[in-house]
Amino acid sequence: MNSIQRIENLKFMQKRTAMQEALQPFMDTRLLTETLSLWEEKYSHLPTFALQHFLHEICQNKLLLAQRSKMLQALIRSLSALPDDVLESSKKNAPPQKAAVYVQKEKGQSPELSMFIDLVEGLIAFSARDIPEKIRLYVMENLPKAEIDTENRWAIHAWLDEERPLKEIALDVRSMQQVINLVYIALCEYLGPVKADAVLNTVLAIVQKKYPSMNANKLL
Amino acid sequence: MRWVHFFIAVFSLSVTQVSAAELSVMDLQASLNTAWVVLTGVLVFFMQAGFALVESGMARAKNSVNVIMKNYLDTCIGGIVFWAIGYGLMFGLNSSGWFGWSHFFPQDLTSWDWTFMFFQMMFAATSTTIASGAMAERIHFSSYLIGACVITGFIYPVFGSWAWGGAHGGEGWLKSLGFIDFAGSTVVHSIGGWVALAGIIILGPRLGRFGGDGKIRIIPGHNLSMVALGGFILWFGWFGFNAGSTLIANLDIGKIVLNTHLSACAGAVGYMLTVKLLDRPLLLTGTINASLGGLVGITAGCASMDPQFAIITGLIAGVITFVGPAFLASMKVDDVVDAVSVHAFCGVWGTMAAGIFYAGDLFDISRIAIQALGACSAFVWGFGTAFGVYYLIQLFVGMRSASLHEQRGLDFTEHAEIGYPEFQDIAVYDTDVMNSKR
Repeated sequence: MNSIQRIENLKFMQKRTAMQEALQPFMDTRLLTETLSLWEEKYSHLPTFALQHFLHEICQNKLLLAQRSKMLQALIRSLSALPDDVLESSKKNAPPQKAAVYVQKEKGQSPELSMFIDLVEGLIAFSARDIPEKIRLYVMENLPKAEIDTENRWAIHAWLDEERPLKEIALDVRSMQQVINLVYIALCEYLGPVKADAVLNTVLAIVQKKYPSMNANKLL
Repeated sequence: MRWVHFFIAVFSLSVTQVSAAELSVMDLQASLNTAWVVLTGVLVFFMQAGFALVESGMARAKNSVNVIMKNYLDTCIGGIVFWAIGYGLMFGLNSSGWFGWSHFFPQDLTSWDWTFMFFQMMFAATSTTIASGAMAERIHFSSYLIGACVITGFIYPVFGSWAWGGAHGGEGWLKSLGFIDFAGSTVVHSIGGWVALAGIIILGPRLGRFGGDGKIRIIPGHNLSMVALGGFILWFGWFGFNAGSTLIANLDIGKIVLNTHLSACAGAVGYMLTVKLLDRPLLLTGTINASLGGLVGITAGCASMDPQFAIITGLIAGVITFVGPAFLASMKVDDVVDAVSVHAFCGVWGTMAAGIFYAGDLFDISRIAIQALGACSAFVWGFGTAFGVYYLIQLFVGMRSASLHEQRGLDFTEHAEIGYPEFQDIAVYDTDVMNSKR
């Protein structure tokens, strides 16, 4: 193991410890071990806002579902305490093929759709407390006003309601723009327009970094 | 007999010489008047730059170009509309007292009439542009311009004909009652402010300006240096605005300019004292708006008030510019630049002050009542007609920009041009799309 690998490994361990500390109060040792294994396998290489995916997956357990927002807060608190370079290293850590497979497997074929999903989930997950839930509700309530065909609208609704992932649908850029705009309006409503602009810029920058060959701006 | 002829000849010659001298003095006075009014008209035109800077600076960077474009084009289109229709409605033969009915599309006027029209055209542009800042960041550009045409061609000149009308015969009904509005606290500023109020009520607030929990969120402007420079330019132009309203280059100008300056100073001081008393921060935007409020306030009575009362007028206007925005925000009315408080509220105060502090006849109840009647009729006419006009525009054209446009900013969506391309947030524009638009 060379020195770079050693540093990366150390950063990964720091992040894992932070996850462990945050989740410990909510589950027993066995469940915690399983949860951390899941995180290591599927989420450790993803940006912080993928925590929403992670929580969605582990909260299939109804006992945990009630604690979801508290767990999210604990995770954000714990991860925020880490130095920035530790959080950034997670992406470098992951083999690129693994990320690509994940996107392919979980989110459908279109890279634009993957980018859209990351953008929306990033925007929703960026704020703390109960705001992500409020944003989801706002977007779901206002989806009928958007000019999106019925089938796709139901698919987006189910995805936002965390019933099933969004995959294998043909969503055009115009529809994606409308959904993102609804999220932006909700951000303005709950965080204020100044913070909403800042969140949009930050998340867009993160997503753009993840998809360097594409233009994330097209979705806005 | 020869001596008699000689004396008659000398007398005739001296009479002719006196007449010629008198004529040349009159010519000189007319030329001076023309030069003075044109010069002050140019100063009033320069106020458009001040409005553009203040309003653009108080808007977010992603809407800065749009705000300036509104200021620029309402002057251009408004100028033509005022020449074609507005001037006739405002200053044409006013036999009914309610509007003028001659001099539309004027082509054959005297030299002085052209000068007068130029000066009044600049006033019309000022009244029209007041609404642009209030409605910034969320109005369709084309809808704004339609509204600007109606203001310049109908709302402003009709009210103007009541208070100032009759340059070509007849007299406006307010003017005949003795209504005092020397340079337009009501005619120009209150009308502009009430139109702005109607516009922002129809438009609704910007996204997220007021939280669901009733929280009022500040949306800071992108460049306060521009706001400050704009404030100075407006102040500078206001000397022309008020002193040019004499329409003659006479000895009254000095006092008018002095009153104008004192009131602007007192406006800022009044605001400063208010925030210090209430232990609130002393804001640059608030201070500049307070000076502008002082200027609006003194506009009606700058020629008929003593300097100490100009100071009192300004001080109270400064307080109004602090209280007004808070009141409107509590009513969930989103005025980006506080134009309603500065122009409408301070305009009403200034109109009342012109009656209250009339030099040599202070606190005359009948004069104050006429002033109140003028201010109220400006509200009823300005707000009422503008509300109707904007409602119709909303119905048939659409007033409010799409939320997607608000997200990206109106610079990109309305003009395909960016105020600060090197520094703008990445969420604002896509270079490929911008290139395809142009």
